[in-house]
Amino acid sequence: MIAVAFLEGVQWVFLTYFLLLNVTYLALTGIAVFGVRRYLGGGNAAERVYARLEIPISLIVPAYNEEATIVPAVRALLQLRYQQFEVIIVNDGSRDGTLAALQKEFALQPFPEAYRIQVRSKPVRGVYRSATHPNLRVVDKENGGSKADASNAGLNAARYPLFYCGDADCVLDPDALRRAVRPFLEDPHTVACGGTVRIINGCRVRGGFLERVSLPRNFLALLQIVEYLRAFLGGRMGWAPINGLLIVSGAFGLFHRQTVIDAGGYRPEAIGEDMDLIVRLHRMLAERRQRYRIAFVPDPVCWTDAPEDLATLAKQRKRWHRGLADSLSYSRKVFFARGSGAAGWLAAPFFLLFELLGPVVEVTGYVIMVFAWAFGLLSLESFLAFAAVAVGLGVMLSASSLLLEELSFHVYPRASDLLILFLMAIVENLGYRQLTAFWRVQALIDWLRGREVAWGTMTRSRWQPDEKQSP
Amino acid sequence: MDSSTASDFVLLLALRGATIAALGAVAMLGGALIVRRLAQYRARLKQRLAEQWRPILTRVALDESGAPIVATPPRARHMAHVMEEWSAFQDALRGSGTTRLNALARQVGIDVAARRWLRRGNLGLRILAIRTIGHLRDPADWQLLQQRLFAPNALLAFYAAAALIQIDAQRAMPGIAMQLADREEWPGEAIAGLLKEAGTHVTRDPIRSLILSIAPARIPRLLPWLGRADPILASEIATQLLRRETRDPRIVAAALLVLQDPQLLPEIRPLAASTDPEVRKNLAIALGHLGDVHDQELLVSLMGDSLWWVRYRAAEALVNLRGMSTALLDATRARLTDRYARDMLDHVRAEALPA
Repeated sequence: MIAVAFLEGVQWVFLTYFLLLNVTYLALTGIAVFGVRRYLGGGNAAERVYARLEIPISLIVPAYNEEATIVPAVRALLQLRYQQFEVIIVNDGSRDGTLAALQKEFALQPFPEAYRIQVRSKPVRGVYRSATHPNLRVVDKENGGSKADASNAGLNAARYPLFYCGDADCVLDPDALRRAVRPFLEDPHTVACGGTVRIINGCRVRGGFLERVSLPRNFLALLQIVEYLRAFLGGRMGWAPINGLLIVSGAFGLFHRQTVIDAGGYRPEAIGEDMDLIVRLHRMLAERRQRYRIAFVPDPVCWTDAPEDLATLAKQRKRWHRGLADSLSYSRKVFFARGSGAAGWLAAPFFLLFELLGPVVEVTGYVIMVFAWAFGLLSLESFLAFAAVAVGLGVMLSASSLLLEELSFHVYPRASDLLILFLMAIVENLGYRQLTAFWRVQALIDWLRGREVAWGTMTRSRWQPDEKQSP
Repeated sequence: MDSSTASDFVLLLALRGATIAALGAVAMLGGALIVRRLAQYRARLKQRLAEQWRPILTRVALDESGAPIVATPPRARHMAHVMEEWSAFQDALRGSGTTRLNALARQVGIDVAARRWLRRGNLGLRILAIRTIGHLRDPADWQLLQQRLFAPNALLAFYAAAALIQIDAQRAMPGIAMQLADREEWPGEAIAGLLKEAGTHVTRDPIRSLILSIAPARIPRLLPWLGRADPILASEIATQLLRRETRDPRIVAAALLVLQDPQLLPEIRPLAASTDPEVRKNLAIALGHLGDVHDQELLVSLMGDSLWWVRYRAAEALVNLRGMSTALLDATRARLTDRYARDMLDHVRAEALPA
C-alpha cells in the first residue's frame, strides 16, 4: 500500500517536471520561430547595408597539436569575406609540428611584439608575423592545459574592437563574420554573439571551405545532427531574443573585446570556458547595471566534426556537462540577481533544474519505472503510456527544429534528408537519449568528486582525405 | 479521488499527451516538407523573373534613342523580386539610364507597390521600398520618407536618410543633422558615407551649427566621422573646440584626431602632461600627422607612458614623423633607457617593414 502511494506521488512529481520541461522547450521553440522569421525579414537588403558598416575583427584561434589541419584552416580564415580582420593563431605549446607547419606555409618571421598582458595566460615564448599575409600573426606560448588559457594569450595580442574565438578544426562559412557582426551594428549594446554550429561529417570540404552539404553515413553523427538543430535553432534561438542566452559555443563566438577583458577574459580553470565566459559576462554586466545584449544569429556560420564513436562522444558529453556544472556553480551569484533579467531569473534556473539536473531526474525515472514494473507496481500499459508520451514529445521537439530549419536555411538539399532526420528524431529516443543521460549523470558525479580535465581530443572525419584533393 | 482513479487519470493524460505529441510531430514534418517545396518554388520563380527582367532593364537603361518603353506590369506576387532587380540596377547606374529606369518603374507600377509596402510591410520589404523611392527621386514622397527618418528602427531611419539625400540633399540635411546627434546606433562609417553622398557644399553649414550647439558629451562620437566626410570642416571645428575655455578631456581627445592645422602645435604640445590617457594617445597621433623632428623628444617621453596604447601610438608617430630617417631612429633607439619604450619602438618598426 505504501509502495503504491509512493509510486503515485513519484508519478505526479515526474509528470509535473516533465510537463514544465516540455512546455518551456515548446515556448522556446515558439520564440525561436518568431526570432528566425524576424531575423530573415531584413533579407538581402539588410545584408547590403551591413556590408558598408563592418567593424574590424581579430580572429583568435587556439591550436594544440593541430599539425594535420592547421594550414588549410588558416588558409580558409584568411579568405573570409570581410573588410578588415587579423588572424591570431595561438600555438598552445603543441608537441607536434603545428608551429613548423605554419612557419613553412606562411613564411613566419619573428616579430618583436610589445605584448600587453591584460588577461592572464601562461608565458608567451614568441610572436611571429607572416611575410606573405600581413594580417596573420602566430603567438607561440607555453602549454596552459586549456583552450581558455590559449584564448587569453590571443586576446592579449588582439587589436580590434571585436574578436572572434573559435576552434582550429572548424570550417567557417565565408560570410560568417558578416553575419555575426550584424547584431553589433544593430544594437551598440551587444557584447557577444553566437551562431549556429552544424555538423560537417558527411560533407565535402575543399581548401578549408565547405563545398557540398550532405548527411553522414555514420549513425551516431546522424543522431547528433538532430540534436544540434534542436539545441541551436530551437534552444539558443529561443533564449536569445529575451537576452537569456547562457552559452555561446566555443566553436564560434564573436565578442566585444574590452568587455571580455573587463570580465577578466577566459577563466583558465573553467571546464567549459565558452559557457563560463557568457555566464560571467551576465553576472558582471548585471552587477554594473549596464544595458547589454548577448545575441545569436541563426545562420549556419560554423561547421564542426561530431564524434563518430561512442568513446569520443561519451568523453565530449561528459566534458560539456562538467562544464555546465562548473559554470553555474562558479557564477551562482547570477541566479535571481538584480538586473540580470531573463538570464538570471529564467535561463539560469532552467539550466540548473532541467539541463544540469535533468539527466539525474531522467535516469532516476527510468530506474523507478523499471523497478515498479518488475515488482508489479506499475502495469505494462502504464509503462508503455509513459514511454510513449516521453518519446512523442521528444520527437515533436526535434520535428519542430526540422521545421525551423526548413523555414530558415534548408541546408540539406534533398527531401529524403529531411525524412532521414525525422527518422533519427524518433530513433534517438530509443537508447541514445538514455545513454547520453547516463553519461551526464556520470559527469555530474565526476564533477562533484573534483576530477580534472584538459584540452579534449577529437577523431576527425574529413580533413585528411579531402585535403588530398586540393590542388 | 482514490488511488486507482488517480492512476487512471495519469494514464489517460499520458496516452492523450502521447497522441497529441505524435500528431504534432507528424504535422511538423508535413509542415517542413511543404515549406521546403515552397522555398524551392520561390527560388525557381526568382530565377525565372531575373531571366525575364534583366534583359528588359538592361535595354531600358542603355537605350538612348528615346523609343517608348514597352513592358508588361508584373503580377502582384512577383513585384518584390522585380523591384529588387530594378533597385540593384539603379544602385549600379549613374546618369540618364536611371531616369529611363524610373519611367519604366512608373509604367509597371513599381512606384505604387513601393509606397504601399513603405506603409505596411515587413522590414525587408520596407527597406526595399525606401531604396526604390529614393531612386525614384519624386519630391511628392518627401513626407513619407521624412516620417521614416524618425522611425525607432535604426536601419529604416538610415535608409530613409539616404533616400531623402537622393531626392534633395539640401532640404534633407537639417533633419538628418538632428538625427546624427541622436542616433547612436548609426556607425561612423555609415554616417561618413551618407555625408559624402550629400556633398560638403550641402552638409557644411548644418553640421557646423549642429556640432557647436549639441551637448558636449555627444561631440566625441560625431567628430571622427566628420573628419572622414569633411576633413576641412572637422579641423576648423576642432580648432574652435580646443580654444574653448572649458576643456572636457573627451572633446579634446576627439578634436586632436581631426586636427589638420600645424599652427596649433604650440597649443597642443602641453597636452602631453594631461592626466587623461585618451588625450595623451591622441596627441601622439596628432603629432605624427602634424609634427616634425622637433617633436621627437616629446614622442620619446610618451613612449615611456604607463599605457600600452599611448606608447604604441607615440612609437608609430615617431616612425612616421616628417623628416625622420632610419639613422635617426637607430640613434633614438640607442639612447632609450626605458625598456618598454625600446620594445615598443622595435614592435612598430617591425610592423612598418614590408611583409
